[in-house]
Amino acid sequence: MEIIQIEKKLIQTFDSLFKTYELSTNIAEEGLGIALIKKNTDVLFNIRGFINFKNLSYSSFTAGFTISSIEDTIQPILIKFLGRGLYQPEFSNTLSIRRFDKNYYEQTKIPQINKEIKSDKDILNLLKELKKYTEEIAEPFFYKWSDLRAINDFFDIIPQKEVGQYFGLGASLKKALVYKLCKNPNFENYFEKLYGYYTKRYIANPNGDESLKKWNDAVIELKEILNKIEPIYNLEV
Amino acid sequence: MKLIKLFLLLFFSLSIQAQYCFNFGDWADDFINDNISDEFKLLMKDDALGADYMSTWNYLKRGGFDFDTRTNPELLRQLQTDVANTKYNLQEIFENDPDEILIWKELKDNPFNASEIIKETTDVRWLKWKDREFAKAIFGKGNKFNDHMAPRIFTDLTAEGVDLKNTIQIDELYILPKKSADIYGKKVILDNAFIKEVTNDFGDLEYYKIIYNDNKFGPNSPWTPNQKEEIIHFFRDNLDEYITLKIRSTNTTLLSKGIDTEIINYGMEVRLYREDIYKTLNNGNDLTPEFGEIINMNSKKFKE
Repeated sequence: MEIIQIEKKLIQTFDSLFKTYELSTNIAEEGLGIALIKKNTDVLFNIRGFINFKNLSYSSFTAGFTISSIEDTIQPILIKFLGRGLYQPEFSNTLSIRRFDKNYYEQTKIPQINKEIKSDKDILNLLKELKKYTEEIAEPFFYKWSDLRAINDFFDIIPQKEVGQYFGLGASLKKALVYKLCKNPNFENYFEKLYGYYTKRYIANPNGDESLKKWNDAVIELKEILNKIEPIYNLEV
Repeated sequence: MKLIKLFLLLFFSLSIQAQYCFNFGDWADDFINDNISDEFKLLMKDDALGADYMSTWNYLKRGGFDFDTRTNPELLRQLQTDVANTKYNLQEIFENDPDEILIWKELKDNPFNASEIIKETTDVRWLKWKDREFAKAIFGKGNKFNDHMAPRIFTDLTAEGVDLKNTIQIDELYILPKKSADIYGKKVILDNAFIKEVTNDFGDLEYYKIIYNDNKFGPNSPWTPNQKEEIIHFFRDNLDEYITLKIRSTNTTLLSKGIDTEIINYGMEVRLYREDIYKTLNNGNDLTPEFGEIINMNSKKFKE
């Protein structure tokens, strides 16, 4: 089968199996990217797969979500100060299964076996597998974590040194924002430490590595932003 | 006798002369040059039997190659074989633009290097070769060594004492070196990149660093012009500890390589420190290129 035929058939068959997701496809030099997208007021969910041109096969899926009330604030700071590329919500997941998979979410591992696509039946099978992955792995992950309060509680549990493993670049900044949005009683204490950590090390070594200044500038900007942000939840009580 | 031969050859070349800007005087000068080899003269006899070595000589001459090169029998044979291959359509290419022969020779001399140059270049003349059958056949050799190295380079570098723990390997990574805030250098392709998250005491990713290996076809195989200018010469001419590189492989490309775009993505910046540059040499065998040796940039053996 040609990749164009595969794409066409996927689009034709998709709606019969998925009611609440939109299908987005993207033909690139190396193959066909598939993304299932769903939005609510604050969260963009995505489930992804990839069909390789080389052998017209796919191996695994991944899923993640972007919480706008976190990323719309933090990503511009990362772009401005920390050399992050463009903010693309679908590629800027707040949390993703793969990040969890590495350290925590072992049960969601799926086998990385190449499955070839030779016929319409194989395409239907791909969609069925995608549906199974969506229902059994992606959605339980979404329901459990795609809420500011759940993220707030998670930040309370994980050691500070590990925040980057789960939340990537700017993890400590995200933690401060989530604490503020949830009116976490630890917010003041935490932000004071965060601010002190980055500003003091820059003051101590102003001509040192350029990242010292970048982080210093990032927390100063975050402080100004946080001063203007009102909590959404009140977990203080 | 010599004059009769020359006369005969003049006769055979008349049609070529008219059609392909053939300068018989130049050809005759080479033929009677005191330094001309007997082998060259023998080839011209073949010419009379049907092969077209006068045309191949003419392509080299029009391309500006010196006497030794354009009368090199081995090179003439190679060129004749390639021109005779109708799949390549080289005759038409060389006749339309005399300078195209320069690229043919570069491809022939450094097939492995050429396969890398063609991916980085913005030179229109080079880009035209990208989809030509001749170039595709040549590039197969370079890709073969890369394909051989990709699955084993992690083990080979580790055996050299390189710490690749917690790194993500990306083969054929496209990057742009960052010169200043919004100014970037030329595109460079890294054969093997190992990307590592470097975190600080507060748990934040301080920066990403890259450990870079490039596969070279023997110790004297050159870096591509962009690799040389943007990376190798940068470290030679500057005292900077590292270069900041911006990832230019698209997210789709990264996904197709099995890379998690949550962690590594298009537009992201990574650091390349001078001590993290390696080149891997093959065993020098053109047909079955295999692993030879790894050299670190800080080593004395590391040549440009």
